[in-house]
Amino acid sequence: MEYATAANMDAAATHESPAEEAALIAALRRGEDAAYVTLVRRYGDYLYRVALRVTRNETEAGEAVQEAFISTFRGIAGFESRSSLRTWLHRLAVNAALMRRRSTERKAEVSIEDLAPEVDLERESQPEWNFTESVETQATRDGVRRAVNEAIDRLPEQYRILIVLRDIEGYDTREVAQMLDDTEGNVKVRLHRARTALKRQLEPLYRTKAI
Amino acid sequence: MNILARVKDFLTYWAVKITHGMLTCREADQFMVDYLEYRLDPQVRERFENHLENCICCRNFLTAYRRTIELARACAEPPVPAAGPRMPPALMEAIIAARKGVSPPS
Repeated sequence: MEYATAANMDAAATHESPAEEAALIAALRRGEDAAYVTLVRRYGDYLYRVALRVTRNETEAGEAVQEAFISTFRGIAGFESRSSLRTWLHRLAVNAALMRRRSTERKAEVSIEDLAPEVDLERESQPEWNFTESVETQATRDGVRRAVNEAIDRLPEQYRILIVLRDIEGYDTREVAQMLDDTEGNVKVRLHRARTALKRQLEPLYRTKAI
Repeated sequence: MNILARVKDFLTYWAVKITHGMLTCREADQFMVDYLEYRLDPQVRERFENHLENCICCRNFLTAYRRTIELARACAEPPVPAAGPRMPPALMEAIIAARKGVSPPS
């Protein structure tokens, strides 16, 4: 399924030409102070939002971003440019955020069975949907954005994180399994359940024009 | 062979023949993730798509399922980056300062 991820939707904010990126990497390798400042100012907000999506906690997100930048400072000599600098930073921030997330106790959660029963009796009555707007238009509405993000937050953590890593940050199933130290099969089963639970919560948006 | 056994064989034969290769809704459900990632074997993909053609419930389910993925993605980032959460300025300065304590790249 080809799609734009949140990561590349935000590309414009941190976009630079290949020549600019090469120049920045070269300056970082030379240890130039100004290059580090540029790096942090250019990617800081973007990585902070990524880390916030993973951790849902401002303190943890801040720590994760700090760790990601420190890893960048230390590892820039080994950066091989097979991916963009942005992709590399993104991965470092996600990994650091996942580590923070593991170390923090989570609040009590609603069960996935309540959100999406394994035996879905409503499946037989799936209605014809009434999409009056494109996804892009719908997503510009504050009410819709809030409803969607709250619905994602309501998912039990082990399901929510799959929506974040797979569908929002755009990692493939194999990468997500590696990040979470789980099997690809388990990830697929849980991802499907998470999407189904999210779909159920968002169905009112598919029948009406707007919130 | 008595008549009941013959009737049973006859019904079984036609049930297998009619439903041969057809997925149930529950089986189709299990293939959704792989279907959207183009990771089904061509034969399974064909069976999945045949099922969709014949099952309006699964077709509608998949439509909303896809929409959900797209909407989750589209709503994750603010319409303009400046409208979303920003890194606290103090943290940004702390990260810049922290760099001074890090060994330069070798």
